[in-house]
Amino acid sequence: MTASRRSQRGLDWLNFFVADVQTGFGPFVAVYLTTQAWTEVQIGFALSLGTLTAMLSQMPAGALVDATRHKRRAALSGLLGILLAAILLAAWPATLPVLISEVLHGFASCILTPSIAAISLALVGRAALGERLGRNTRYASLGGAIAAGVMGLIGTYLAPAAVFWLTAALTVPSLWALASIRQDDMAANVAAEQVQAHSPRGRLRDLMLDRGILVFAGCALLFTLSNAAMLPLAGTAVTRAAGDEANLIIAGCLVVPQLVVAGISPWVGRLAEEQGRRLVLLVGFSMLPLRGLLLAVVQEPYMLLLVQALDGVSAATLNVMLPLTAADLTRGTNRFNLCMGFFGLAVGIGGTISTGLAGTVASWASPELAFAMLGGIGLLCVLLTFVAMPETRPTLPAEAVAAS
Amino acid sequence: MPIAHASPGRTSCGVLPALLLLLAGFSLPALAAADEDEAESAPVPPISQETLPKDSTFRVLGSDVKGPSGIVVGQVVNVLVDESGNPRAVVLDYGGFLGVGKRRIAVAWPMVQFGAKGALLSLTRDQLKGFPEYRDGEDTVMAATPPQPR
Repeated sequence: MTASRRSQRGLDWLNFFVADVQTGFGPFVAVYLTTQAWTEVQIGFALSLGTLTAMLSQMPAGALVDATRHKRRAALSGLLGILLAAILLAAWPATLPVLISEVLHGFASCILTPSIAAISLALVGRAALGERLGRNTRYASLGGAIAAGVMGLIGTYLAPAAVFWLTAALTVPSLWALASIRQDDMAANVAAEQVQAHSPRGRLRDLMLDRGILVFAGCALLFTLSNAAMLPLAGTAVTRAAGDEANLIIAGCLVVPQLVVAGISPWVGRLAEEQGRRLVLLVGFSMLPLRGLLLAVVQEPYMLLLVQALDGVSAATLNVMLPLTAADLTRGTNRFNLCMGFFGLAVGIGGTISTGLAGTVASWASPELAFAMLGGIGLLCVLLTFVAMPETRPTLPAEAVAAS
Repeated sequence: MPIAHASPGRTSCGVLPALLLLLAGFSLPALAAADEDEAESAPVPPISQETLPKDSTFRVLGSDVKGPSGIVVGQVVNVLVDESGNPRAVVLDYGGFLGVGKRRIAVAWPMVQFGAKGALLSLTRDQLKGFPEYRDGEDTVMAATPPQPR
């Protein structure tokens, strides 16, 4: 049974608006709290609390989404949590509300991300998942690009709190998009997955000892360890080197990769289905050492925009391949979202260490060395994929081989 | 609980806990002694109340800073004062877009004017191009314009 056009469209827009909402919770939170006369230590504490919550809840939240038949209801509760977090932040920036908001956002995101992946899987089934994830990523990055532009302008020209009011407001179209996905389109696939809940392969211990899962988690960790600090570090370099046009260039550095992602991600999904996962992973990940090297060498601010386009290639790869690999490696079990949570945890750990590590190297040695180090970590990610990552694409059924 | 302490950012982390311990150790007996003294000697002079009109003073920490072109270019994160309490430099989170690419720099106190319309920085982005970052616990390099010869 194929999903109706209406449900597919609903999922497109859900990805679009959720990315909008999540853009608001980026590095701008620190700027906003600074304008509320928060000290650096207080801001650091609040943000770390949010990160810690997100890490601790990744796997439990994934297991929760696996366990429920109502994937839409899980996404709904995630969205409502984020709505509440945005309102708290905008309306009441005192200590306790902000801390609650950070915890709420950390947990709600951990529910929302896997439940969108679960809805995708339930709508199209495993065979067409690569293409569907490519489409998800395209809409999400378009949403992220537009939101970054609009929110940046609002933060600069209106009050900083307006950014979070807009964030809260954008959950409304997200809810509308979620509501337009029909339960009937998902029912068959969800039921089929649930039947497998007690299959012998689904034991938690087996899952955590699976070679593919461990290797990909390692790759995901190295990926963000290498990737997360590159943009902030490059942004600081732009502000230092450029005059009045600095903000425009940084805005470009945020938007260009998103546009690249939007352009290529459906193609990445299709390529992974046709040519196999390993090829896509290797090509996508190898952008990391290349970008690290270029950022260490390139000084000209406008050239950074071109270098940032490489970010789009690697980001499209990770965003499509992470859920796809999770689905591959949990075939025949009902552990898809738990596995995504595990990968999400790896991504979270890498990202958290990355910024601090690169910042320290940049201030005590030089930004160039920091970029070289980040590129080196990216090279490790490529090598790990090359040496240890198995091909996870399911062997094609006979008729598909005959047709090609 | 926005605490607006305008202390120089150079108070090292090790000093603060030690100070707190000292305070905890000494203040209790001292308070008790003060109570006894009060009963015997002359009362301490009462505190006086002064009112500053609402628009005559301005909050500094966390305020948005506008550049010469009227666009918000950063936020005040700290004020450095010398030993006699005179403000010397303003530490800013400067530049960036949506929080990405902001830099921490110090500018001389007179470079920022405070008023009802917020804080105004009289230095342009081009002037601050390539200016070294402010680092806690090291010598502060602050941006200033030379006095205008007239």
